[in-house]
Amino acid sequence: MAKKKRKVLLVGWDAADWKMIDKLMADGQLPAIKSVIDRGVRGRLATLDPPLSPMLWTSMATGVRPYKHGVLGFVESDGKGGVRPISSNGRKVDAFWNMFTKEGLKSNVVAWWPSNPVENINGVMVSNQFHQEKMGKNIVEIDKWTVPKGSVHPEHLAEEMIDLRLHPYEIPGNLVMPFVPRAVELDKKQDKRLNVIAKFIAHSSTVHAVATELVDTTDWDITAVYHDALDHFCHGFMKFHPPQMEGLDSDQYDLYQHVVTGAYIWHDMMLGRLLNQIDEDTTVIICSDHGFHSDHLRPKYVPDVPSGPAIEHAPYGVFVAAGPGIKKGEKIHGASILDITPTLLSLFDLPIGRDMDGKPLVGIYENAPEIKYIDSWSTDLRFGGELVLKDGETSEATNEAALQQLIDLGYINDVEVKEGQDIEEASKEYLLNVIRENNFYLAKSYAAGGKFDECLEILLEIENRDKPDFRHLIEIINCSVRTRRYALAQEYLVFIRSKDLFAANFIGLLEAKVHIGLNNPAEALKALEEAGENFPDAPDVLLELGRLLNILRQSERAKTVYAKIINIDPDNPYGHLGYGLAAMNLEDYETALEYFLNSVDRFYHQPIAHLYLGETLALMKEYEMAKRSFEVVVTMSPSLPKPYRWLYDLAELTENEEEVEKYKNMLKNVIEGERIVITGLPGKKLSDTLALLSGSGKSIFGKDDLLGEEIDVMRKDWMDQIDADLVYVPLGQVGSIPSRFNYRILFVNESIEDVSIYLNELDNLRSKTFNLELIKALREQLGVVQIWMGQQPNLDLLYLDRAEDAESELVQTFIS
Amino acid sequence: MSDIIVVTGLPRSGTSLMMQVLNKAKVPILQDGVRESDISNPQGYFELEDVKNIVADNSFLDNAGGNAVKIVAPLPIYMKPSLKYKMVFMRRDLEEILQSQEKMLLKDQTSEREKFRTIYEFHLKKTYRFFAENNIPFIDVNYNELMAKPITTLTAVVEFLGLDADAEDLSEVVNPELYRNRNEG
Repeated sequence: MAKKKRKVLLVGWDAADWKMIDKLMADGQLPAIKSVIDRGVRGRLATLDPPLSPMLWTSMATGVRPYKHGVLGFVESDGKGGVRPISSNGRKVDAFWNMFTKEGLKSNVVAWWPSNPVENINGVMVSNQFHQEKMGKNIVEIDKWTVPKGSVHPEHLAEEMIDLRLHPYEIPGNLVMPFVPRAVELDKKQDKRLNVIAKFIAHSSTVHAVATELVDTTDWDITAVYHDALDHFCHGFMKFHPPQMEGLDSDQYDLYQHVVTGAYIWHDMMLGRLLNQIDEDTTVIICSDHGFHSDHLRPKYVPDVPSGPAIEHAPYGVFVAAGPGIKKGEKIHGASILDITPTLLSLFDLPIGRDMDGKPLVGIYENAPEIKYIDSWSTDLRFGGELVLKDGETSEATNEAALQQLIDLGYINDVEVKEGQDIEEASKEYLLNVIRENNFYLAKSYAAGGKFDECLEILLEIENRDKPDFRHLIEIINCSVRTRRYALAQEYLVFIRSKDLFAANFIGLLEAKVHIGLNNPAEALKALEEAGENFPDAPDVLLELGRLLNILRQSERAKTVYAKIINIDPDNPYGHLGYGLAAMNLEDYETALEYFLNSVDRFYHQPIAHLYLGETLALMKEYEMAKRSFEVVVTMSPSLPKPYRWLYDLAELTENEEEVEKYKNMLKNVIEGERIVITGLPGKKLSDTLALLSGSGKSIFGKDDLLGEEIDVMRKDWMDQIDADLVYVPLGQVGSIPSRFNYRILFVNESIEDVSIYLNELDNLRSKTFNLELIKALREQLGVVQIWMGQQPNLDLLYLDRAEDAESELVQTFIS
Repeated sequence: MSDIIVVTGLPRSGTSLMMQVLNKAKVPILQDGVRESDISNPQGYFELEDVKNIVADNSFLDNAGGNAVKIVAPLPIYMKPSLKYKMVFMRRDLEEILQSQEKMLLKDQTSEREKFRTIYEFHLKKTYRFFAENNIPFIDVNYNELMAKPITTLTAVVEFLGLDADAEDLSEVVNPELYRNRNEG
């Protein structure tokens, strides 16, 4: 029997969040999505920065980050000196509907943001402007309501679909009642919120009507329908959602507390109808671009900057998939919105573009398919659909209406004519601000993709000292630190200190980052502690403080800080990770294990957390479980050598010859070379350790030069020429070892005071028995090295507390 | 068709000086004289207004073979990769460039030195990347070395560009008195 052709129904709910869905599902209020979850897989979908819907849904539809797809922000230049809502014109790469058209597959695409003007793809496309009931700033009466030009492909369908639209004026009061049960008590003229709800219901009803019509009346391989209404409902009404937020008027809370719940139920009803139209052989995917804070993490205020409302977004959207060949009742981990298009391609056995930033979610399949690759879909010259209107041909009145919608939602500001300005000047300034803002989003997208130089280059060009924008300044300092341009970071810190732009805790946080970068732990700690005193609950400050304390191995203090973070936000994966690390440093492996598991449960895609998890399990002698954790790290971060080394060691420990051979070869491929370094403060313990190791037959480079007077680390090739089992590197020079090697570092721990006494007893330093200046210098040196080591992902570090331990099995294995 | 000789570099890195050298070597110069000489460049700037609009229109390069034109970094990235070029890249210590620019603009930008230094680093990197990606031959000319050892430096330039000129004659153009913004620190 021929294999049945796969069909996919893709439903996008902007801003859908698991916290809301799980709660309402538990109350039996979302039966439709529950039915899909019950027969499929679920997971969290990591959003991208900046979390702005048109950029995110384009990443979802293309598999690439915004700096590649070119759709930036909510508005763009119209090329005629004005602005227009973000359109399809700016997209530089293929979307999945283009790829499917090239392959002869039929797509229905409904209301994707942005998709106006539509493209003449193989199938039907109805844009996100189709349901627009305004012309310019005014609402059009029902009898004069026309379909915007370029919003439907094929064009002849526009006439047929005209009656599928629902005008806000057609929404009767009883339809609003489930959202606002006491709606009758309200004076509609005084409180416009009922009109807003009616508008959202009308828009989503139109989108739904078009989708259901196309599902029934067209031949399709994929139907993709996108709803923006949930996001709009949440931005408008989440502040009224229970529990009542501090400072919120009780009457208002009583009136509107059901709106968001109503919106979820409404979306679930629409989903239920769609599910009734398809059979169980149709694969269903439900996803959202980001979440939405619905609990104590709701921000108390929305910053007055463009796209300010995005502060209400939570970092994870939802992902659900069910259908033939897809696992049932399982969770998937590590998914991102970038993975949707690669996953769609894999469902149809089509190749993934190597230029895509996302990956196919193979974890959803009962039997993972073989994934094929091509260099790029965009260089495949087969016809994939073209815009039905040329740039500039869309109706200006429709554009203005859509702009007004964005202004109403608080995403963009209206043109402001200042005193002494005419409208032309004001519009020009507005356009320049739009371009500047979109460049800022481009820069942010680069930073989110790890391209900090590109981000910095843009920000330095758009940053304006006369009109400082705190968002630009924060990002500049962050990127300067990431690219190790500390002088630049400090120049900006001087500037922001001279202006009253940030809260002091933020300045403290930025200062600390610079000090950490400069290996200056004392100053970093001071800055963070000061910031923490003024703002004891600021999560950013606490996270950075915890990180620094862990680096400095002040583990008990680190635990206290991380416990506070977890108390504020029990779902913070980094809080659990940091706590686990502190416990691990204190050799409390059971606690460490618990917290590492908590961390990966909250955010699975953290190679470093899985690495610590594996190390903890290995130290607890749970070798098989440890192996599985290291294998996860290898999958997530194949270029990191450390897990291969562990896997090799564990294979030897468990006497698995086959794996020994396998990981030996893999290790060879990922590391250029490995050096075993011994270091520590130059005291008696270090001296004894060197003697013991030397006595046991190990050759040690530099063992007779405890103070490092003869070593020249500035010579590029000094490490290359060493042919000894171990290399002694004086503490002050550890930070200069060349980064092209991988290192195992044996760190001999000794108190600074003991080292000082030992040094003073040596002939050349016999001036004082207790030399405060020397102690201070040693302390500084130790701090610098600790910071440096704490930030090296590729170091394998073993602390040695007693010289005689050098002969222990652990140390001998470590240095062999 | 002969190559287009392009003199590039950051503003205040000696690009006008190199144009004077080429002028002395009888290389035809693409210039319009719109920007007149001033105290910062007493011998003139040797600039072409069209260069300022290169992002939108680079057609002035179509018939520029055999001529020399000054295009400051990073604008060469907007040149047509299909044409043939030889680039003379003027390099000068960034600290000196910044001081020289501040002097020219009569503006104290010491509080933004790192900002401009970083921007210029990006401009240089971008320009070099464009050369590498498009296999465009270039020669780096260090401004300080040009001032200190003009004959040696110009011999290399003459050779690279294949000019029929004597480096010693050309070195007369190099006037150490112009080298007044040198960083003494």
